[in-house]
Amino acid sequence: MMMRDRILRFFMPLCAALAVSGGFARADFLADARDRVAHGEHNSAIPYFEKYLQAEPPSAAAYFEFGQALAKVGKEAEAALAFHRALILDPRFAPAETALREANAQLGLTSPSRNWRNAVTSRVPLDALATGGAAAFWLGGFLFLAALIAVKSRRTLLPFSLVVIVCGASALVLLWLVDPRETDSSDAMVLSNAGAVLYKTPSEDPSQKITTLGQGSVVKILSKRGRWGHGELPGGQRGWFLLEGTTPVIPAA
Amino acid sequence: MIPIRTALALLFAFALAASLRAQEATLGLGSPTTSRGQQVEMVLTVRDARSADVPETLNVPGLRIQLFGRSTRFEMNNFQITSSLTFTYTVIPERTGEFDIPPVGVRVDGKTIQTNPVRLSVVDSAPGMPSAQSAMPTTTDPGITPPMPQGQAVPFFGELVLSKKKAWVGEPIPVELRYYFLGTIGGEVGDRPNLTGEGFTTQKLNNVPKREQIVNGDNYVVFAFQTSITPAKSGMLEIPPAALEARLQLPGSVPPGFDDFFRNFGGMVPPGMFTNARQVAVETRPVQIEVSPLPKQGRPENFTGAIGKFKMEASVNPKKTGPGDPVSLRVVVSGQGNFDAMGAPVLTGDENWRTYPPSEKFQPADGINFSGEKVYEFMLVARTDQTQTPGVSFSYFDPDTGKYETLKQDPIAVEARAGEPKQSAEASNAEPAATKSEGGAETKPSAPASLKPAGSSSWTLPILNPAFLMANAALGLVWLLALIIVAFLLISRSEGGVRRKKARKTKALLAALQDCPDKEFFSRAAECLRFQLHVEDHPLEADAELDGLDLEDDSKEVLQDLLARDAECKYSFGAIAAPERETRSKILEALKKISS
Repeated sequence: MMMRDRILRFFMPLCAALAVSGGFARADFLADARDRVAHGEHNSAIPYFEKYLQAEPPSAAAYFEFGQALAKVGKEAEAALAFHRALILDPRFAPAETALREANAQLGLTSPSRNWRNAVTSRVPLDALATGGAAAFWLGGFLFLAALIAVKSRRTLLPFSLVVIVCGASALVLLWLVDPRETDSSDAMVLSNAGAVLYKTPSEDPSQKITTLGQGSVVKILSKRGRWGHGELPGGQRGWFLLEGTTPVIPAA
Repeated sequence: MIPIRTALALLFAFALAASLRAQEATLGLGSPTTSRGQQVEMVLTVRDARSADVPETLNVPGLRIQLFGRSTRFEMNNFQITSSLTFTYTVIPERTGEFDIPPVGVRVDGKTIQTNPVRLSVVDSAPGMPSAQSAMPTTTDPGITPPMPQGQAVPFFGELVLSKKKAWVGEPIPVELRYYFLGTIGGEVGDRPNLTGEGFTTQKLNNVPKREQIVNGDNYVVFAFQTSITPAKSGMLEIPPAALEARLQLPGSVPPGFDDFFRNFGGMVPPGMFTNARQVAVETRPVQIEVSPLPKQGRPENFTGAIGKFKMEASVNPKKTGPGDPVSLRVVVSGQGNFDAMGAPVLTGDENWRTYPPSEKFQPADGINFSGEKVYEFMLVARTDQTQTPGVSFSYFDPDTGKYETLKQDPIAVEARAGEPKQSAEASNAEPAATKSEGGAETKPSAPASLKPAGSSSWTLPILNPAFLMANAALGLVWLLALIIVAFLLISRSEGGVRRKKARKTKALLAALQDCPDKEFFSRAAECLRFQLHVEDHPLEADAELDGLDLEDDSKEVLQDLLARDAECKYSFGAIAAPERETRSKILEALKKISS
């Protein structure tokens, strides 16, 4: 008993100190980055943003600031990627959408037109949709059970519970269909200055060339074969391209 | 003698005809650029033909093109005979613009062959390329003469033709390097001359189509290269000689006896018959330019180094935008000048717009990047709702007048709406708000005021989040348990359930009766009977229920007796005699019959 107390007395303050110092260090990255941005030192702020984003859970606002710093130093493609990531984390983040559109314009790219998914994600908070959908589903489930027991109110309670279940399940299915973390999970952005070339076959044969993807272009990777990726452009055109020079829109865990 | 001479002449003519190759017609301009009213020479050359019909005039609107002269040339190099016809046209521009002179049809031996098309740029009496008339050496132009003794044609020479002898620092001066080779000599010419020196920079050399030119009565083939020279410092600038390497078949000495042989037939030694190959470097003569610094007086604040003559046009697209959508302001600066070195036009009255450095695209109209148009695209985002774009101002230095000029474009009508936060407070906190530094320059769209995460803080879909999954799994488990309970409840409430329950209870009651003390027997047996008759709550109805039962009379009697004895027990407070063993077994048997 005495031994256990001694061990606890030694390790608990140590663990607490480590936890607190780690937290401060991460906060310092962000504070340093923002301080540099405030003084116009965008170039030196970039590594601090990178460290912060590596250490902390991703945040739409942090990616947005990071993208602004990158845009200031002329790294338009990297900025577009940061803005894209900010929008994936929060599709309702209007400043990131505007900034992405401007970055695309600087890169000579047209921003993809809005579709029904964008219409949903720009209006509905997705995490709340997930929570609400799950809550409704289970509420409906328990009401359904109650309806089975309650003999007198079964007639009204049973259909009501079924409607609530369907609503909750629909919300979860909708989330699955529209959440950019799912829909853009296989997207990659061309960051190479030279762009990327889309071929009909996985070979660098000029006669098989379909088109050239400019820097900042986004392509959906359908499959991979060695250095090659089989991808689909937003317009539906499919082809092979070299994976070098492209970066996943959603960073690897 | 006569028959032999005739035979030799026929043999010569036959060899001449046999050596003629497929005809080819080319068209070349003395200069691709000229000014209005300034004449340019255009040469149409037909190779390997002894006669050809060409049009006297060419109909190109805006240009007066007239046939000026023609010449025929035979050449023999090591018994290889070539011939060419040269037709010289004068081209007088009547207005400015870009003119495409279409292919010219030439009738040769009953066939029509087409020349290549050529393009002529005509500017409004601005400094341009030196015109053929003004600078090309011609038979009537005594301005430039080949460096040679009078009456003796030199085989080759070079010259550098400048459009002007006085210039400003940074002003591009179009230059043409010309290398003349006597038509009677053959050979190969290097790719391009080397033109380097101190105090100036040059554009890359642009090849001009090879042409033929008559200088002092002799036919020369002219290889020309165009470029522009930009003085980098003031003072006298010397353009050093520019040499072009060539390997030429120069006339050699006639072997003894051959001269007399040809003279006997009444002629000279055919040109090119006896030649020596020589490597030569054909040089231009050095030229001096007087270079002045740009005046400081009258220099506009927004002057960004443009020197030349320019025009400016602007357009905006789209004319109407949604909230926060960018507007593209397209500014086209066209004319002649230092497009490579000049800066972008400046926006005026752009305080209510977020602006970015413009993209640039230059479309040259000639090969030396002297004339053309440069397109600047400004991306603008309205800070507040706007009805017109910023104005545009562009200043340049006009080398002809020696003064600075400023072109201004008034604001263009546009409907641009400011970006409005579409959603949460977090997003509006993060709305970029560009600020102006003390110097007035745009510093940055400011960082979000708060880094409170807007949206999710994970790349994982919320429905795949472990916490979400755990919570839902727990809820699912609870629901399953509840479902099991509900199922039990429902099952127990069903008819079969009730029956089974009753049977179980009857069985238990009967089992309890077996070992029950005698004094409690009647009351508990009666209780069991009432339970079986479903009259636990209404004991008085037990007799009636018993009568209605489909049971043997003996058993009925035993059970009626049981009910009577139970009543007696109650009212006698237990003073009734204990049941006999036989009575107990009869009652138990009768009760079992009911339950079965």
